Amino acid sequence: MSDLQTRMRLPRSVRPGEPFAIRLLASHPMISGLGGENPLPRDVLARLVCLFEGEEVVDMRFGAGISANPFIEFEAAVPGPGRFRFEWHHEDGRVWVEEAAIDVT
Amino acid sequence: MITRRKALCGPILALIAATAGHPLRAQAQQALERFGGGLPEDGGDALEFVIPQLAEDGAVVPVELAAEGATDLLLIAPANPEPEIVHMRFGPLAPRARLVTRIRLAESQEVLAYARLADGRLLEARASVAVLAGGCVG
Repeated sequence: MSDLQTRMRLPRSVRPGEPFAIRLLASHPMISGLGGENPLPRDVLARLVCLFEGEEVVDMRFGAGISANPFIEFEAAVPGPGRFRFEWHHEDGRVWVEEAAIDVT
Repeated sequence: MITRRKALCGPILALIAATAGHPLRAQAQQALERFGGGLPEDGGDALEFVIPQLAEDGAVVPVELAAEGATDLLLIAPANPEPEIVHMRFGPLAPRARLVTRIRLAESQEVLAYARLADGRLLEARASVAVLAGGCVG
């Protein structure tokens, strides 16, 4: 798999310091490599990092214990307008990056 | 649809758990040590841990964890082949430690949640989940 389909949901506009939810979804089978007699090759996303203007919101490490098509929701609060950066890391070292702008008024 | 692989999977995972009970517990213990160790206190109301008591499908079990003033959250399923489900660190732009996600449970078990508070204290919450169909992971 060379491409990772991801979706994100966050408000377009918030007030400074106001907490809001960020919801992320990745289309990925999260194959543990442990299933049955003829297991499929392991294929697992292992880390999600969320930054806002270079500052950390969350850094999450996981494995095949997360369900296929990982859904992750957490909270953020930002002081002013800027860009979020979401990094999905595969166990094998590949990284997919998504960015999203938010308006703060 | 029940495929051959799915049909085989539950019994095999159960066998692994039964024959390798001690190593699995050791893995769970190691995950807690990587989290910083310490003597856990009962989380009570300070550690919110929401997970169904009955999961029809262990492949997709919704879970919510939250703790005010925590810097890190950890979720362990001791009877899973990989007990450490997730370790989440919260940075300065996370107003509170909260995680909602969906996890796999290979079999019925007591799931463990931990929160590390900014002052170093370790909170623990436990929840027993009955799993009807193991979350076999292909």
